[in-house]
This record gives sequence, structure tokens and C-alpha cells, in this order.
Amino acid sequence: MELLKPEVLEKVRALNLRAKIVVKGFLTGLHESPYHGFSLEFKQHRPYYQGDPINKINWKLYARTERFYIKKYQAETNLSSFLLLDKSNSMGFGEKISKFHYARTLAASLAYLLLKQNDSVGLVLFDSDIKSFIPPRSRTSHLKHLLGTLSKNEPSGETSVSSALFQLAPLIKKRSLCILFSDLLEEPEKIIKSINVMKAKKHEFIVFQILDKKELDFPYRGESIFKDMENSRTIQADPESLRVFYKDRFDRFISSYKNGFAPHHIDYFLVTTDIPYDKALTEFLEKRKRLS
Amino acid sequence: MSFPAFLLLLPLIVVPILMHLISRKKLKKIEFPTLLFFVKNEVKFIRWFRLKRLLLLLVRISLLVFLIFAAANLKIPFKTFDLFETVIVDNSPSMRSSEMGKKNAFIVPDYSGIPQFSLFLKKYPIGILITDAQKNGFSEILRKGEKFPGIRISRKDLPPGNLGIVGGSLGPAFEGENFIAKFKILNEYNEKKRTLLVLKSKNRIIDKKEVVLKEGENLLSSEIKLSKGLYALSLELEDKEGFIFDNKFYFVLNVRKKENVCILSDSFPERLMAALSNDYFKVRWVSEPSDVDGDLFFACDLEEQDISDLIHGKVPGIFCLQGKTNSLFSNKIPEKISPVIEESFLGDPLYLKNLKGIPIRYNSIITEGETIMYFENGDPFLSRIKNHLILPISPEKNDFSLHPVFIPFLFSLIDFLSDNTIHANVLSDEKIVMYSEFRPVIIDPGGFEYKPRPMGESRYIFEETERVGIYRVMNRSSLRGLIAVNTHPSESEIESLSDEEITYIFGKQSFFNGTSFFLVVCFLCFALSVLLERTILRVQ
Repeated sequence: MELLKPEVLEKVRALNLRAKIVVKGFLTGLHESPYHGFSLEFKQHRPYYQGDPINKINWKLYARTERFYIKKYQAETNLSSFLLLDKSNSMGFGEKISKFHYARTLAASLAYLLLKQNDSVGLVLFDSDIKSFIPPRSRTSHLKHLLGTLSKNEPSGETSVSSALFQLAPLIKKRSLCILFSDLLEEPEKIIKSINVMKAKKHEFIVFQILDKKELDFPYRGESIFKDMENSRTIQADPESLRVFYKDRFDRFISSYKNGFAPHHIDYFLVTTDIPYDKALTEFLEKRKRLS
Repeated sequence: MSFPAFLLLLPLIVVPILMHLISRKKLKKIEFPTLLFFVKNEVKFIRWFRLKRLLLLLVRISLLVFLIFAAANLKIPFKTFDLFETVIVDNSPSMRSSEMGKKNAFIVPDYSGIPQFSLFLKKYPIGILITDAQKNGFSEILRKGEKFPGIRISRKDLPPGNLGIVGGSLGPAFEGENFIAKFKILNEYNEKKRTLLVLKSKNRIIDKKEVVLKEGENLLSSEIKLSKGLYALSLELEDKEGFIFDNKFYFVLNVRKKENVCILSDSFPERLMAALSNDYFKVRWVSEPSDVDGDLFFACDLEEQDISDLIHGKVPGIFCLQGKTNSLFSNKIPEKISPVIEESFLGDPLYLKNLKGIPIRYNSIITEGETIMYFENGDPFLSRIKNHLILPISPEKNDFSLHPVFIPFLFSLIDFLSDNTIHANVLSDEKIVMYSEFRPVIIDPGGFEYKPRPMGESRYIFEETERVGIYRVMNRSSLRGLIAVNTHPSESEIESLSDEEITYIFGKQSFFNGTSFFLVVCFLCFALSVLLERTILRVQ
């Protein structure tokens, strides 16, 4: 598991290898099929074996046959998913590992995982506009294309998630699972509104808010000049005296996302770049499992 | 003692400036995803933080500068003001009297006497005695007074009512005869006042009577008989309800003997007789030298023998030698015309200074005796041999005797011979004794210091008052009063006092002790810098 720590894994240059390591490591930690939960269509019943979860037992069938059967779902090979990755400058923030690098690895891992269960995966890279758009494919060879695109991009430009999503909405025709990786440093109302627009088109949405621990804790000391990574505006400030104000304002910012996404059934995950990838993936999958 | 060499250390102030600049350069630059969470209030806080750093720099510089100043022991001049709690306004009748205009000097303390003046100055530590002459200037002080810190003027006029002696006149006083002293007294009350009038010579009461004074001006007289001599007299009024200015009137009285004057002349000495026909003399005309007697004689155009007889006689006299021929003490010369020069020891110069500029014709030149007055061309005008005076002119024949100056000149000559001349020094040295502890020194507007001449009991005369302006009355080193003087009080247009003059009069320059003052400031700066540093550190 030590290997899956972001700072350790960052030493592995090849993104596909990183993704494999993540997924393999992640799979090793699981006791059940990772694919479970991604598919939603029932295929057949099979006899219950020791170790299967009890809650999967079909009690109605037991009532008729007096035998234990559990439901078996058809793996959904035609699930279309999009990985939406924010590549704006603010995503370049991070000392050991930037938010962008973290999000990229996470996205690559998910792409690997999804493709492994025969789902089709697409990729969108954006800042305030869409910079790359790769339509979803389910072929294994597609992974190479995805990872190649992810590897080539580095953070640039100003953030506007909402603007990018509005641009994306007409491009995605088929009902899809959209997984957004961004720091969401924008007015929450705008982003929530733009996601709702996507939701209205029956798309499923999962949001990973990638943040650096320093953004949350604001641990700086001594009078400093802060430079906005996106618009280069500077301000001289004393961080210690500002910390209380800052954290309060930042907490409210995160809360507004949590509270904004929940009523619309949008899965929201706050991930900091110091969390091991597998943990992030586990949390994500567990939540998906619960929801399914 | 100052050490200005320490000021060379002033360039050291660059040290804290450099420190400040270096500490500014040390500021970290942090790239941050967004500044959305830095809002205005906090930015204001940052401004205050920066201001504090700047303040700290200033305090450090000040600390350094003041330390250097302290080492240099620089003295700091500043103006302070004496507190004039009360201004005494002399609105007494004498201040309104035009009689004052006749004098060239102000008498301090006017007619009230030094003790009263002293009393006032003791009661009001620094008072101002304002005369009519500077009334305008004074009202300006009152008007401007509020502008000057430290001058709190609460004008305190003297009580409205008063009995004031505004003038007096004495007829000629002769030994063995009664004479009348007349006084003008002003009753400013709206009713008749009964008061006691006392005429004193030192502590001896010469006359004392109760009088009733009607409203307004009262002319009173007092009949006196005194023996020969000089007297310093004072007339006093008792008025407990009124104020003390002008309730005393000082004057000097010369009681003299009536002189028997004998005029020796061939013909009737018309002009001399006319000039000497008054209360002061008993005049007799004789034509023979042997008939000359009395207290003194006038001899006009005598023969040499007659002159010789008279010059050796006991009776003092005046020889008027207008040259028909050469005589014993003069030679006939062609007629000359010349004025006389002013300087003379004859009596009061007031009489003689009028001679200046008057051309006098003469045709004889005095050849003997001690010359005591000269013509401007150097010829003798008046000479003395023993107790006789010789003039190169004859009153009966010379047009000088028709000039108005002639009679006072004649009186001066007679006074000189009969030793009746009033010399101020004789008056003060022999007749009047000063007893007041108040011995003022006067500093005129030009800074010249002199002592006023004692004149009578507790009385001084300021003689050197040619300069218009404020005169300071000092007693030892303390300021006891200020006197506004104008050479002629009848002038109404007086320049207002300027701000500088008021500051000069009321203000005085003092010095802070440089070292202790700057050390105190240094300490305050240090405390402030520590406070600022602590708050800045606490924030960091």
C-alpha cells in the first residue's frame, strides 16, 4: 500500500504503469469483484455460496424454491463514461505533487478500471474552454490514447468549470457517467447550475474536488506576497492574521458544494493530494456501491 | 554646553532605513491557486500592518536622531508667556488731562506715589500702567490678548468714582508773606463729596482742612506762609471709596526773599524798570554810584572810575557795557551780530535755551573776567568778575531787550547772583530724602538702561523718554511694570502694537535642557518602538 502513496507513485513516470499499479493495488485490497456495482442490468440467478453477502439473497425465490439463490448482474459493457479533467493553472498548485498530477493519475486509474470491465471511456480536458475531447471507446487499446493525451497536458489557462460544462453539454449525446476532476475554484452556484444542466440530460455525475492540504490548512507564516496562479494578481499579506478568516471562508466554500450537490444526487468527493489513490478509489467505489 | 560635533553622526539614520529595505526584500512570494478568499477587510488589515512597519521605521530613525541630539545637548528655545491676570487701567482724571501734554516726561507713578504703585504691583504681580498716550495701543493689546496663549486679560477698570487732583498752581512765594496755592480737583461721583485736604511738607502738615467738593471741577485755594527755602510739598485727598491714582499732588515750592534791585543809570532806565516791575523785586533808580545799595544793582554805561568803585563794593551787580569808548573791562569794536551758544551753568536751561538762534548786536568786547557764555563767533557774551556779571550790551540801547526772551534771561541773572537758582541736584541732594525700597531701573524701547531721577518723596522722573514705545520698569531683575510713553500725549494717532511687539512685551524666551529633554523623547520613542515590534511580531 505504501506504493500507492501519491508522492511515491509520482516517481513512476509512465502514466499507464501508474494506473496499473493503482488498480492492481486497489484490487488486491478488495475481497469482491470490483466490477460489481457498475452494471445495473440483471442477468441470472446462481446458487448461494458461503461468503456471499446475505443481502444479495433473493428471498422471493427462496420462498418458492426453498433454496438460496443470489442475483447475478450482467456486466454493463455499453456504459459510456467521460473523465472531465480541469487543466487550469490553479490545478498546478502543490509542492510534492500538484493537484493536476494527482487528478491525472486518478483519472488514468479510473480509465483503466472502467475499460477493464468493458465500459467505454472518453476524456475531456478543459480550463475555461474545452481543450481536448476524446469520445468514449471500450477497446483496450483506447487506454493508450487516453493516457497519452493525459500525459501530454500540463496546467495552463484560467478556470471556468461552468463555462466548460456548458460547452460540453451538446457534445455528449448518449447518457453517460461524467467524472469531474477539478479544484472547483469558482463560484459554487455557477458550477452546480452547469452540472444540473448536464443532469437534466440524464447524465450521471461524480465530482472529485482535488485540493492541496495547504489550501485547506493555510499553514503559511510570515508576511508574504501571494500571487494568484491564474490571473497573476498579487497581494501582500500576513497569513497568520488571515488564517482564521481564510479557513472560515474556505470551509463555507466547501460546505456550499456539499450542500449544493446532495439534493441533486451528485456524488461529491473531496480529495486532497496527500490521500493514497487506492483510498480515494475505495471511498469512491464504496459510495457507488451504497448508492447502487 | 553644547557638543555640535555629535551632529556629524546624523548620517547614521540610513542604518534603520537599510534594515527596513532589507527586511522588505525578504518577503516570501507564494503562488496560490486563488485569491478569492482574501477579502477587503483583511487587505485593510495588511495596510495597517504595513503602516506599522513604516511607523516603526520612523520611530527608529527618531530614536537615533534624538539620541544624537541628546549627546549634542542641543538647547531648544521656546516662547513662554507671563500670565497677565489683571491689567490695571488707569482711567483717572490725570490721564485725560491735557496738562500732561506739557510735560516731556512721564512721572512714575504719575501723581500717586511709589508706595501705592508698589502696592498695586504687589497685588497684581505684573501690571500695566497705561497712560492716555498709548490708549490706542492698549486697546489693541486687549483686543489681541485672546490670541496669545498665556495672556489672560481680565480687564479691571478702577472704580468709576474718584476724587482726583488734576492740577495746581502756586503764586510767587516770598519770605514773610502769605501766598496762595490753588488746586483743581475733579469730583467724579454723582454727588457732593466731603473730604479732607492735607498739604504736607514731608511729614509736617502745613495746612489741613475739610472741604466739600461739588460734582465736576472744583477750584480750591490754601493760604500759606513759609520761611525762605525749597520745599517738596504734597497735597493729599482722603477718599477711601475711590481709587488711589491722583489723590496726591506733588510740587516743589521755592520760597524766596524779595530782591532790592538798584539800577544805576544816567538816564531813566525805562526798559529795565519795565522788565523788573513785578512782585519779585523792589526796584529803585539812582544816577550816582554812591547811591547804589540793596541786594544787587544794574549799572549801564558807566565811566571807568565808577566801574572801579562798584567792582570793589559789597553789592553784587550786573555791568552793561555797550561801547561808547573803551572801558575798564571792554573795548569798543565795530558793530557785530551773532547769536549766543546754548551751554551755560546759569540756572534752569529752560530759560536760556530760548536765547539760541536770536541774533544779538554788540559793539564792545569784554576783555576781563571769567567768560561763562559765548557768542557763536567766540566773543564773550557774559563774564564774571568776583560776584559781578558783565554784559557787552546795554538793555536801554540794544534791541535784545525788546525780545521776549530778555525778561527770563534777566531773572536768571538775578537768581544766579542772589543764589536763588533751583538746581535739581540741590533740590534732591539737600532737601528731599528718598525712602522707598522700590528703586526702579528703566529700560527704554532701544534697550538702554538708566535710573530715573528721584524727584521728591517716592517720586521719580523719567527724563529720557524721547523714544516712543514701551518702557520696562525693572526692580532688580524682575519686571514690575510697563509704561507706554509717547513724547507728546496730545498726539492721538498712535501705532498699534504689532504681534511681535506683544510677544516681545509679554513673552520671554526660555530653553529646554537639551540632553534631558531629548532623553525623555528617546525613552518615549524606544517604548513606542518596542510596542510596535511586539505587535508586529505577534502578528507574524
